[in-house]
Amino acid sequence: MRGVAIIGIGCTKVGEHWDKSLRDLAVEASLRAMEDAGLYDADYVLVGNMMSGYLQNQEHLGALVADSLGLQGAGAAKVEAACASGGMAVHMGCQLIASGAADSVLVVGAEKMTDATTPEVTKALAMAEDQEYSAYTGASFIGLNALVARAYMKAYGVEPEDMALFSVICHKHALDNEFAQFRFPITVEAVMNSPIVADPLHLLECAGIGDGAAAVLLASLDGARKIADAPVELLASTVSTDKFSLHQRDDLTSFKAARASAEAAFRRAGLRAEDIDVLEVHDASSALGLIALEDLGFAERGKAAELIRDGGIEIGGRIPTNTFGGLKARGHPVGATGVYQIVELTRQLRGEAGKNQVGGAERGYAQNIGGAGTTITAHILGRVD
Amino acid sequence: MFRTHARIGIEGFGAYLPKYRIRIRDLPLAHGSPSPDFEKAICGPDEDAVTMAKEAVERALRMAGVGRGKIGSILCGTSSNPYSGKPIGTILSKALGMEGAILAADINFSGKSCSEALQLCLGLVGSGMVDYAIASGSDSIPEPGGKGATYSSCGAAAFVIGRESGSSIASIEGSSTWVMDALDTWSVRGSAQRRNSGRFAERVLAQCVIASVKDLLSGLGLSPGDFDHVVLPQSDPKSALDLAKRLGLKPEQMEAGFVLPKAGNVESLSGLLGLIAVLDVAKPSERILVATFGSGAGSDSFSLLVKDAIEGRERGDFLNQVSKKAYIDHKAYLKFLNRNSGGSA
Amino acid sequence: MSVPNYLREAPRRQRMEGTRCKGCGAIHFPPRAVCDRCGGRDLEREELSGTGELVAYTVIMYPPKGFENQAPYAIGIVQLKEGVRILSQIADCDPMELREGMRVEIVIRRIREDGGFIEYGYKFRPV
Repeated sequence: MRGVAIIGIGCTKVGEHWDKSLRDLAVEASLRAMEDAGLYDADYVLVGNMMSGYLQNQEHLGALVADSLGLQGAGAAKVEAACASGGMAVHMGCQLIASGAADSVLVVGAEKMTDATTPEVTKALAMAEDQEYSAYTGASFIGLNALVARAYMKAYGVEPEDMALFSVICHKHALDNEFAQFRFPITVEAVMNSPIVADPLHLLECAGIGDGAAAVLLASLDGARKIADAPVELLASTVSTDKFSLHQRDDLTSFKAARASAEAAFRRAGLRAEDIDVLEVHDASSALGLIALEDLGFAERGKAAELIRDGGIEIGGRIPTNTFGGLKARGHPVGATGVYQIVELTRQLRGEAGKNQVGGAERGYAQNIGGAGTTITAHILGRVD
Repeated sequence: MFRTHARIGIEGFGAYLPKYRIRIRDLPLAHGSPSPDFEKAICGPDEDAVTMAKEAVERALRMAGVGRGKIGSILCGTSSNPYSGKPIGTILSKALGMEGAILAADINFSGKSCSEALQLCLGLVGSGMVDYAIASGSDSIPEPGGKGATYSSCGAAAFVIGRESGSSIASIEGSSTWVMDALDTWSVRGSAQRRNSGRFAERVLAQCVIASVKDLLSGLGLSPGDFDHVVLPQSDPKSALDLAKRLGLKPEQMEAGFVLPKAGNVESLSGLLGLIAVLDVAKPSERILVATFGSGAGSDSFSLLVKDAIEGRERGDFLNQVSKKAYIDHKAYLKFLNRNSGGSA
Repeated sequence: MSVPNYLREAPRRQRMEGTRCKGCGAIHFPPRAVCDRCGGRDLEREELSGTGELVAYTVIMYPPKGFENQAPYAIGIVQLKEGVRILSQIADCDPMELREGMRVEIVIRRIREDGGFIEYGYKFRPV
């Protein structure tokens, strides 16, 4: 197996891009990544996207984006794994490079959500769930998050304010991220006073609706050394799945797929949680942020709130997390999220994170979740010296 | 009077009232003087005649202990099937796992829709066409407002009918009917407006009920005093009392079956919800007279003899249904009606 | 939802038809072709009891398309007597009165009317 490296990154701002189409966004992020790499070529184009079929009536995104980039002839495909579509696209890109099937792969995650009304988007998001036995009940995706949050709070005596603090810190981190959707500070009090979306979750602790695209250009490690000044290596790329529906699982307070993908990733990279300097987790709601810290081994079970209260996930803390705002504040253009995470970790490892820079960051971890803990990808990135 | 070749028994019965109640005094009334302490049931926003019928039929089947494969017909008296042309029985046959060689039809004869279904089931079982038949009735409130709608309620009832045997909880001694062309209360298809001919309507009701009851009693050689329980149509408090007086009935005969105060008047179930309340408390060897009335107009009457097997059955379902409730105010009532009368579930 | 889909699923949605593994006895809902406990492939259909208890619940304030007119409504995870867990709307309830561990039973209700016809399916209500 060949080593895999990131030789270029690029993204759009996350937001309400009324004047840009899904294609425009994907192209903009891709061109930035190729410009960053200084290589306007790819053997393969993978597009991470969840909802284009329903929201844009557009499938066949692989060839659509490849053609738009002038890459006719390249292999191309859309990769879909619900909210983990981006992470899964990066994972598939890694497989193509590692196996030698391709020497360069452009992975672009893109989602255009603001073309639809909120109920339509809510329905589209619920397509990640079993249509016949979950979505059928009228359960929204945030509703499933709420079930998790409630069970987690009950199991460990966690207070709503403890969870809200996670989102507060994400907003703090987004202040200096020019690509973030929500660049304003919030307080725990503001979260608690915001409308309930699905009890016990408030509006200000749930990821919103936004458009955006992020791209990475992957190459073999050996190839990358010839092209890029400071490539970042993908030390591990793993994925794990669980029982499809949340309600079928005995434990709602921890995701088996998160633990399994983390364990495999750490083993592959020969690292432990203590070796990670910067972390990106999938905080579709605040509760998922806390659970991720525990599932990935950065906090003991039920103790994530302590870590957060002690400043542990802030820049300068024990494990700086979601340093560009996470899903909550950077934004969560679903199929793009997993790629945004890789872009942001790469900025940290290259020392290009500006005011958000984690000093001496050498290794980063990204967790991307599809469905209610159903498909979870893990990526560990390391600086190549 | 109708007589069947075989003696017919009731094998099981079930009633359903939705959980939500509104007190009559909380309704802004345009007509009449209400009985303020009375209350009526209203379906939740996700209920309709189909879901209510399912509850009642399921209870009746459970009590009867009859295998679903033995059911030969399922008739449903209703004026509020959410589908036109597709009988409720088809949906129930799927939900209850008994699709197949079953006669399924909606019966529509306003107040006596369910009793008409019961009459037909007597014929189906009595003739030997089917082993067991289900007669049910189910209605939601179609429209708010209008005279007669004051007590208009939501609910369902069902009876499993078979040839009389040791397992029958009551035997049907005989039945009778009376029909005439009258316009007492009515609405013209396509119009939501319900019309009423006032005093004339009261006369039509009395004429039909008394005619069918008299025919039944003379056929059986019985008199009103022979019945331990009598259930009469009860679309409003006054008509039931007037009828009782004219038939020479005593208040104690009427007591168990007078359900209007607690359950309101479910359109298709005239009298039959009261019959279920009676069967819930009846003792072996008691005799029950039940008469129904449907606008348009007609009346069915039945004489039942309670059997020993009733003692072994779990009963009291009607009382349970009446006591499980949550009150709503007029605003919520209108909202519920709106949801029930169309649009999304 | 399409008409064939609705009718195909009706035995599951209206009378909780699941499967039992002839090998290890595990019960599943919805029906499976492969047992999720022992991997066995010899399974038979079985109707489930439809009674159980509430494991977790929430109230949906911002519903998906097709459910707009119903919000707010409660959904919850129900653990059936047989041990199987299912997701369901909780009917006939005041959400403030819901509690984990509460006993619930199946009812058939209108789910939605998306396709111009009425979808009937299970919900659970407090006993």
